[in-house]
Amino acid sequence: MVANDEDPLDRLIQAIRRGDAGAIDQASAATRNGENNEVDHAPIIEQVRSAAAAGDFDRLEQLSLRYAERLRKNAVRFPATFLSELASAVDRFDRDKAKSLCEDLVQYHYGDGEPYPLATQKGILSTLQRKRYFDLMVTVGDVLIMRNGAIADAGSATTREAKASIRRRYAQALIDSGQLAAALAVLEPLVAECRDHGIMSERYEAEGLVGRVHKQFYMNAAKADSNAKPAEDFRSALDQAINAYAGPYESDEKNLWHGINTAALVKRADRDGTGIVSNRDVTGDARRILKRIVAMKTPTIWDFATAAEACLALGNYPEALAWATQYAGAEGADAFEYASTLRQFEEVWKLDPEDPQQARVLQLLRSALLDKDGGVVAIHDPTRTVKQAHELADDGEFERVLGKDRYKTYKWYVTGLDRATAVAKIYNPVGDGIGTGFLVKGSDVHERITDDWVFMTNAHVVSDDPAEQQASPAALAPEDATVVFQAGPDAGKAFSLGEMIFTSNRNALDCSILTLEQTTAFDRPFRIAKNLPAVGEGKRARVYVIGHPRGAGLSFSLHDNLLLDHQAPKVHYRAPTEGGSSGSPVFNANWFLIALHHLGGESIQRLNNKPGLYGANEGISMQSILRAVAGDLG
Amino acid sequence: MPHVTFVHGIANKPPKDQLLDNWKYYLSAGGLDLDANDVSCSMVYWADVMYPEPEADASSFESDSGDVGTVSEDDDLSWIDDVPRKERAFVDSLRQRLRFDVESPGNDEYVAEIPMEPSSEEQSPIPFEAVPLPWFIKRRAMKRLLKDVYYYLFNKPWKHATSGNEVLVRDHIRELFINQLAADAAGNDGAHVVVGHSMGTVISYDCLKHVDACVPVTAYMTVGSPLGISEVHDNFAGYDRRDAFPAEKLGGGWVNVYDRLDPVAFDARLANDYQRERTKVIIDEKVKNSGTWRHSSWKYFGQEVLCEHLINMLEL
Repeated sequence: MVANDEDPLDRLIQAIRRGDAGAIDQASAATRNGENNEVDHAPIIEQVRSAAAAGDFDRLEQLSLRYAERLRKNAVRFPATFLSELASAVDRFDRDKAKSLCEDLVQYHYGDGEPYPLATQKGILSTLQRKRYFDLMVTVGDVLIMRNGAIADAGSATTREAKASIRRRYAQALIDSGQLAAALAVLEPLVAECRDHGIMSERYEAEGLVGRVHKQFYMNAAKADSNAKPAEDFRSALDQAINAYAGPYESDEKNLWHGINTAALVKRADRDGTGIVSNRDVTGDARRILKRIVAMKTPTIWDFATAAEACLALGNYPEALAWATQYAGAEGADAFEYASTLRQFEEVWKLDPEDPQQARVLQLLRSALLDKDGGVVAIHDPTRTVKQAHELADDGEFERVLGKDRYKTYKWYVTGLDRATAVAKIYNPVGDGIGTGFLVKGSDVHERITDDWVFMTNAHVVSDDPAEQQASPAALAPEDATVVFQAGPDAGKAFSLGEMIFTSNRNALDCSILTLEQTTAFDRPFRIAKNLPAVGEGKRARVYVIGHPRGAGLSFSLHDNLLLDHQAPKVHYRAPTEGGSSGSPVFNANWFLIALHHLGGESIQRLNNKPGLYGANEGISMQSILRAVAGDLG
Repeated sequence: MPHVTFVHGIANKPPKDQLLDNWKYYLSAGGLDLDANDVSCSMVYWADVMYPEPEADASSFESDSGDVGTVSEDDDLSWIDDVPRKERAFVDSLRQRLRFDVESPGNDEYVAEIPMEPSSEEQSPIPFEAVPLPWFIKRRAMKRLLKDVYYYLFNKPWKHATSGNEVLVRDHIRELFINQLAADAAGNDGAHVVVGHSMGTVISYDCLKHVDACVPVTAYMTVGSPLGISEVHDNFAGYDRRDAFPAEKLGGGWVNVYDRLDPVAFDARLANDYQRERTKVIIDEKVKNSGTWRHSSWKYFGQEVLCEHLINMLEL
């Protein structure tokens, strides 16, 4: 059966004409199933036409694949193929490949070849943004903007708007990579140019981003030292942010995100006692925004988030939860979007995690974020967060509001939090956190281990082998290590390590298993997986690393990773962002323990005799460790 | 690689792949993600024998009335008129047991009682418990169960809903089960668990116990099963409760998961009825499903205790 009414051969020929390898693959597969050889084939490629006319679908597929392969080898010369290759790399979190493609793109545009169509340029920037590859957006954006020339040079209104859009996305990448002043230097002239040329939608977007820059300046200053007032420059940044957001909303009330940001910042200015006086009717604005969204036939993902924010402005947290639930279940939202909303709710609205109503919204968003490809959830107040997460899981009303699917995701997230209570940070004698470790049930490691719980970490973190202690980085002697749990019944308590039960050095299994000198109250056992998830064509297994955000104290983070490959004893996986720290546990999507995280890097040897290196995280499979322990202990 | 062979129950179902995905999803809600543990699975799909088109509306399938499907009208019971005299006693007796001819005291709003056969095993047999179950849902489900059980147990001829060929119901569905099981077992040296829901437990038990060609499996789970109803087990050839366990084909354990307010599994405990050499070996695991309609597969599969049993059976 053919998926739609369009003739599959036409689709194939169109794909070849466009030079779109991804579409060629799809159309070629559809052609094989279509078995319609009576159409009048357009003479695009002689071989394709004759194969199609003969109804030789095997030949047609071969030709198509060969053609697609040729396109891929020179992807940068074919914009559509380039974009599908980039999307594929980004989807696999394959940063190396994405980077190499972007470098090709930059080199190509330094040459005198035809610049990419503006629509493709926008697609490239959106694709990179989706997985937060902001530095690549900036690299690519630099050269694209230069090749596109001034907005005024463009002929049609559509072209002018597209050029403005590319600049705006470039500025957005600068903001997201923390280059705020640079972003402002791009945005301010962009606003002026858009105003001069009547490019209203881009002007509003750029003005909103100016607001975002000022907002971020203020938030950074406020975060820098919560006991001191921000410098006057940064306090005025809040005022500037309010004005930048308010302008587009006042010009056109359809600019909902500007309106809701205005409301959020006016409320924040008031809460922080900044002395900024605004005559805006925030409550009225929020009501109008909400009314407009309620009236929409097909609200977008962002509209759900905006509606939730409007309810926050009205202090109606149950309604905010209801909208956030719709947002969490919306098709097409990705980790980037949920992370942005969560940040807005935590940093700007400063939702109070102590308040059960407000906490519900935060916990829901965290569960939605972790459920998405590449999601990272950082928990800065683990004890309270875990306890509260459990209370909410048992709250029938919360379950009813979330509905079956969202509640399932929520329960799954709570199980992940539970696993994190087994995880501890390891400190050296001067108090530096040097690694991670976790509790495992003694009898699960080996039947002869009588301790209820034993502690597992990397040998390059803790080892009694002098060679490991003298290597770089140097492992701590067990007696020099202090273990502190982030959450659970032992949160904040310092434990000492005792007897070394098993160790295997960093070049082998990189694992040390030790007893704890003090008794732990930990009581949430979990399973060690017998099998690793399958990898290969059509498989997309996800694994979760529980580690510690850099520089943070008592906190932990849960990282979604894509499983790449495994070959005993190694397991490879990849996340779009920094992975977990050494000695972290790696779980499957069922929260069964599968591996001990060991290292990560840009040049890891591929497994299963595949040639070459790639960027990956590497763990040691638990089953390999258990087999080695059994060999040691008998 | 561990493998689960599922067998679905009464009423129409979504297409096979979608049904399988649904069941995997329900299990993940209970804490077992089959893919994450590299467990393969398959479905013995027989809905297309009875229905020409799969259930189209997936949302209705997942509604509270779940596995009754979207049947808007009751099954016509005129087929009973054609039941041969010697089989009529079975139909009448089961019909009486299923109690769908009893008028709802609440004018179709609810059924005030769940008929539980008194069991010596139960510490506190349920008195006529008031359950706000929409009467029409129960009535439709029971009528469907009556027909499916009769056609299966008595191997009645039936015009295959998709092929149009006349088939003998039990022979045909047995063949589907046996073939699927054999395909699943081929080259697989891991645990192999059969999980049946509702009428799927009648099919799977019958094959494991009575069909020589059936490949052995390592463990068996029945969910919301009508196997405890005496009219059902008494009509299995050679039934003797003291040796009814399918020991030749079932190397490991049998776990039976039930909700006492599931009207299909109303004689819910199976340990006494399917003993292994006069010993009760089946684990009867009681769960409490949510809502009014307790028979839904998604409610059972979302139970953590069910998933725990399955994890153990799969040796994960």
